[in-house]
Amino acid sequence: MRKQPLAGAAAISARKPLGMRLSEDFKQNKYKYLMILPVLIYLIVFAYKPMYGLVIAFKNYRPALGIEGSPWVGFRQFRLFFNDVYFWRLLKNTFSISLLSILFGFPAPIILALLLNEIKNTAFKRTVQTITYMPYFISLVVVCGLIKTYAQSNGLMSQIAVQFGGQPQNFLMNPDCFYPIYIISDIWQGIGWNSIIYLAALTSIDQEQYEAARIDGAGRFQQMWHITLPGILPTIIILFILRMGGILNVGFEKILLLYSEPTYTVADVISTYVYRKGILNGAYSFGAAVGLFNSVVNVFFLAVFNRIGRKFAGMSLY
Amino acid sequence: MRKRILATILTAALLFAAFSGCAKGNSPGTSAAPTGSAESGTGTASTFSGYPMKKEDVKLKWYVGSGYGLNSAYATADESPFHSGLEKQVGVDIEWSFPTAGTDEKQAFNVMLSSGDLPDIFFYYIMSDAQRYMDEKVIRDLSGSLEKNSPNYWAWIHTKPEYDRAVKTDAGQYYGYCFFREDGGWNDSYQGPLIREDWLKALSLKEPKTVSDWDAVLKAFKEKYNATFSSPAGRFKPSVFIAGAFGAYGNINSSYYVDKNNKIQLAQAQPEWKAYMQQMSKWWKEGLIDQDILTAEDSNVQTKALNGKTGFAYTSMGQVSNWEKDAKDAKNGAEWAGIEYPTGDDGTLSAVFGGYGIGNGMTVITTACTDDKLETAMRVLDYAYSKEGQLYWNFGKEGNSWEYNDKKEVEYLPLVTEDKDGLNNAIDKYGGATWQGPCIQLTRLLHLKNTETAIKANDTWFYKHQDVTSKWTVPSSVTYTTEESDKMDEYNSAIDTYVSEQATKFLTGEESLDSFDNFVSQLNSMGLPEVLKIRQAAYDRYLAR
Repeated sequence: MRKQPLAGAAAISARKPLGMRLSEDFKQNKYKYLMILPVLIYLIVFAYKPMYGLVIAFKNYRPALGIEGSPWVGFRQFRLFFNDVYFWRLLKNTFSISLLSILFGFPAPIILALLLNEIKNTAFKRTVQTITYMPYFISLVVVCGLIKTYAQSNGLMSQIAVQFGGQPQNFLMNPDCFYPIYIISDIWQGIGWNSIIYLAALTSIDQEQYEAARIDGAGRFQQMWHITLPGILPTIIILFILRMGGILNVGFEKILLLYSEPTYTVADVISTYVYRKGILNGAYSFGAAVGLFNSVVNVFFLAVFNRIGRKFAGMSLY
Repeated sequence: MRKRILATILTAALLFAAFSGCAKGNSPGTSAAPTGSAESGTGTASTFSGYPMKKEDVKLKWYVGSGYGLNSAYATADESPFHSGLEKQVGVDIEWSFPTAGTDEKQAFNVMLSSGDLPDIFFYYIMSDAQRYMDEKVIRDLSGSLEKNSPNYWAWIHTKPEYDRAVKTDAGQYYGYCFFREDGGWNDSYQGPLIREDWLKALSLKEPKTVSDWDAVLKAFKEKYNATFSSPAGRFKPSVFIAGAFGAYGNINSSYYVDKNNKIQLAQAQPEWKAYMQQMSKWWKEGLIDQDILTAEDSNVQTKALNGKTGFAYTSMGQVSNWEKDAKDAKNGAEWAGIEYPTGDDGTLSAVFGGYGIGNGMTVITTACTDDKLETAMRVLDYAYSKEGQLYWNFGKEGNSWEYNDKKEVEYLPLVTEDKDGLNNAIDKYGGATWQGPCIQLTRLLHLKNTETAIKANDTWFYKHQDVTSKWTVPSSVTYTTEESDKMDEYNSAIDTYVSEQATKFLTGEESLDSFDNFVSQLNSMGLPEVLKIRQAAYDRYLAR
């Protein structure tokens, strides 16, 4: 991430030729380059080289024929996807779940971090932190098993509903309840873990600012609003841009474990539908095509929000 | 200086681009083997003189993608009594390979295929793709020498026309060794209705036989015990359930069946299914069906059975053994028993859960197997269908894991019955016929594996309705060409999703069955006629084999 340089700064330094600058830099920072070499190799081998495999999105891949031997089919896989009767519903559901997750799930760790920051009693603070971190380490399958058991018509959720005068029902069969269950359990599981990075950013805020504010007569809430929040704003913006860059990556396994026919109308997302469509034939090409579509949309959103971030907040990822 | 650096960087970048083009996707069969898929060796005289063949110098590579794989107690095939024992029985050295524990089987299989290093023999669920693999020169055509090199197998597959059809491609080429149940499908009816006999006795009710009986019993159980009819979603949705009582052939998930004119139809598009759904939705509205039936797992239903929340259910004979054990441990007096599938009040019964007793996985010989090893490979696979081999594949070595009791029946020895991992686990250590494999599964195996209640339940479900257990099912060996597969891809998942969604809405009453005609016309506009045409063509080819 970088902040925008002052205009005109670039004109000041005389530009040496690229080759010379590189070799000088290399000589100066030899060990830094060495340190980054394994990561570079890792990226090249596991991220860049496999990109060649994306070519199967334009083929009809058969494992026995290999990538080279499989026939070309042009945009057929993409047409199969876009022409599907359920395409718009899938897109709508994917965006809905993603945006609602961001709307409710993104601020939650920030709020927790801000609240934790205000706690003076370290023992209490640490207890709260530990308790909120713990759900993150529970396997998703276990959590979904719990949710399914609670949502049954004789389960915990129904019993609570009856206490409030409602009817017992199987909550996971109710399309109106799917999003709340999904998002609330997501927040419950991730809030502690995701707040760590904000807590870390909080430690970098100059304490003198708080002193100055207190002298000026600012209350705790005003201190939070004027000092703490702006202090972690760069972190928030970067994480937000990154989050938007994953907008179509909705939690596939979780939805797969929680959804069922009654909730298809709201819960069937691109990845679950492709899973069903592909499972019959091991349709690798189709999966690759949809994955490519996902990536293109994600990169688009990443670029858009990066630009917005740069323009309006002076903060951007690249 | 800088030109040199630039040049180096450019060259390196170009080289990298060139190397990334080096995918490992070479076509198999270029390594050792004969070209094409026709086998030779018809001229060579056979040196076979019984098992063991004493060909320890011949090494066969065998990949087991599922079914008779490695028991979790063993790390390698050498430790496994079944696998190493099989090598000794046939007298050949076999190098076994399995998918890495914990990986997805299907992925592991595809990785094995695309690695370019084919084993001599492999097993997986490739029936519907058999023609493609033949065209892609992965598997061998065994037609010329099957009768000579695998006489036991040859004799077995000619006992029934379905068996013979199942192991050929549409072009009539024999290509593999299939899994068969000895009894022609007894255990294919491993699911059915179950009821608590003690509750029936308490209410002085008889076992329900017709739909009206079911109605009465459901209402009585609800009134007296506040219990509902339950079933695990994974068993309830895709099976035919009790639709047979209405002349229908499917439940919630889309199902294709063979009608009385040998035509392939979609079960959910038939008027009989509408009548079936009307009854189901009525029961749903009256609160007689467990609301969780669309999402429950085996374990959820087991808990309900234990807590008395259900006394009337639909599940597998294996599950009912668990329920029995729970009831015994809890001493609650529950007596679970399998009952017959209901018929219509007029006696209609069109279909019950079942099949032909033919598996959908095939053990095949690949083009990587050289001609000189071909006969050995075929003899090794034929062993399972001989008298001695059947016993070995099912139970293990006589005198080691089993012996005959006084009634000349197979009985397990303490090595198996007192195994610390439990009986069911132990059976898999010494035998390979439990799930699927190139063998004949003997009914005795299932009798030894299951409790008496489970066996009686299966007996009821199969023998009482034997003539409607299978002839309506579409055989698993029906194959589709690449073009047909591609065409169906366009419609299949949309149709499947639409059917299961609508069926659910009909069941819960969210949508009235008055809109059934709209439902059917929507299906027709989604490409159902094309799909039926393709499936029909494939099925006709199957019949002509």
